Amino acid sequence: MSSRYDPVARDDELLDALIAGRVPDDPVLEGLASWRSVLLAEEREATATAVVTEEPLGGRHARRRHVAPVAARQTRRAATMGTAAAVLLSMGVSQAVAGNPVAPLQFVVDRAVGLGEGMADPRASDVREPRTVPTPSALASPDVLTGRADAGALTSRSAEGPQADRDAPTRDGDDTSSGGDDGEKTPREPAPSDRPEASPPTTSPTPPWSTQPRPPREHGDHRDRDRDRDRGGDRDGDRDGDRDRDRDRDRNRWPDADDRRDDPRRPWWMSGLTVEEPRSSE
Amino acid sequence: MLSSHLAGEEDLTDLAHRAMSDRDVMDALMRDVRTVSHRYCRARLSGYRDGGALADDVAQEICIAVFQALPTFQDQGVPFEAFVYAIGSRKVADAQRSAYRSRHIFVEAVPDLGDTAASAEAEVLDRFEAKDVLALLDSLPERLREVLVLRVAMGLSAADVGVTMGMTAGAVRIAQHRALQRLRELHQAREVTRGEVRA
Repeated sequence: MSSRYDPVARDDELLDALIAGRVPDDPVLEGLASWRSVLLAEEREATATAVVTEEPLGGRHARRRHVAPVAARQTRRAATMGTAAAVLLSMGVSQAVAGNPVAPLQFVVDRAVGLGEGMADPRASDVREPRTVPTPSALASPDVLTGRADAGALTSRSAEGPQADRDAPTRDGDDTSSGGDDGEKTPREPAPSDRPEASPPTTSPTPPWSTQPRPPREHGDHRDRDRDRDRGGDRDGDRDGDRDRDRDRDRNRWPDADDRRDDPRRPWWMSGLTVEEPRSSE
Repeated sequence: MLSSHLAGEEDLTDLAHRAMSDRDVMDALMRDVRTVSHRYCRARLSGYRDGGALADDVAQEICIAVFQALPTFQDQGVPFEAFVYAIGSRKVADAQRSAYRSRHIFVEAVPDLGDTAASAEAEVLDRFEAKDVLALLDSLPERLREVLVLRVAMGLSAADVGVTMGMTAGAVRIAQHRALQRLRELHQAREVTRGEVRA
């Protein structure tokens, strides 16, 4: 009997032989056998590697460089921005109240350190009054210097008089610049550097807010609007104060902020403050 | 019941049914699925650059996908191998598309392949022949190539390939015959071209 040749069945038999490991004498099937052997070898290799290198997840990268979490970074950024906003707000409030954005900072520094502008001056004496308790004549306004919170304290202190104010550091015992000498208990003359040159007084000797309250304004009285329109301040030659529009030379009114700023003897950082004036001998 | 030749003597369909209530059976099933999917991925992706690492990754993705889709598996006359093949073929196709887009894989160190071959010469010859076969397989239609991959690389019988791909055993035999005929023609044409070049 002769069997008919079936190419489909023949190829199926050849493939079964290839899977069984017998390489048929056919170039294509030889290539397929090589392909299968390579796949099986890689599979065995991969299985062995997987068994050998079996380790817990993440074990290979256990030691990683520390990276700050995102939430903490955002929190730090928010804190920085909040602090900056608070500083700007405080500077704005200070600018509106005292006319100087760093007035609170100056106040704190002056009170804590006790340094004055004359410390670096060779003409200044080693012993001098701290600027923490200025005399009432040097105060432009309680609001200007210390803010509205300290206005009451300054008012009550100024009611005791200039002498009491001068003795205040020695009574409190917080004079840090003098070292606690006995001679400090007596009023001393201001240092040459502190004493300005002879010039007409720019401030009133007695504070008007304690003894003479400002009279109520009459209808049509716009003194604040009419003040110093020539912007000359004290430089307009009006020494007697009669024709001074801002009326700050009649010893009944406070000096204007413009006059304080226009004073050429005043340091730039002291724009909101007043220089201690010697008492007139009149 | 169809006895599977994919991963061993166990019937994967029966394992899949029992794996839902037994963790040990689930572990055995996933081992077999990993073996099957890994071999299939090697067969389909070894022609690509860094095909070994790519096949490892795709096989792992197949295992995860099978594990997630296992509760939805229902025995409707289709064996579990077909279920795995349907998932694996899509994963391999995605990997091939990704490999065409990005053909660079960065590794920390050069992997040590070890000494697993019988000899260096045999391994080199096998790899050359395997490379040629892969180049020829790429020129085949998708259907014929899948039949040869399952038949040769996976070691399935014609009947198993038919069940997996939804074909009859006779259709599988005809398809593999056409595939081999096509490969022989391509191989002969290549040899002729090489001979002309040498001459």
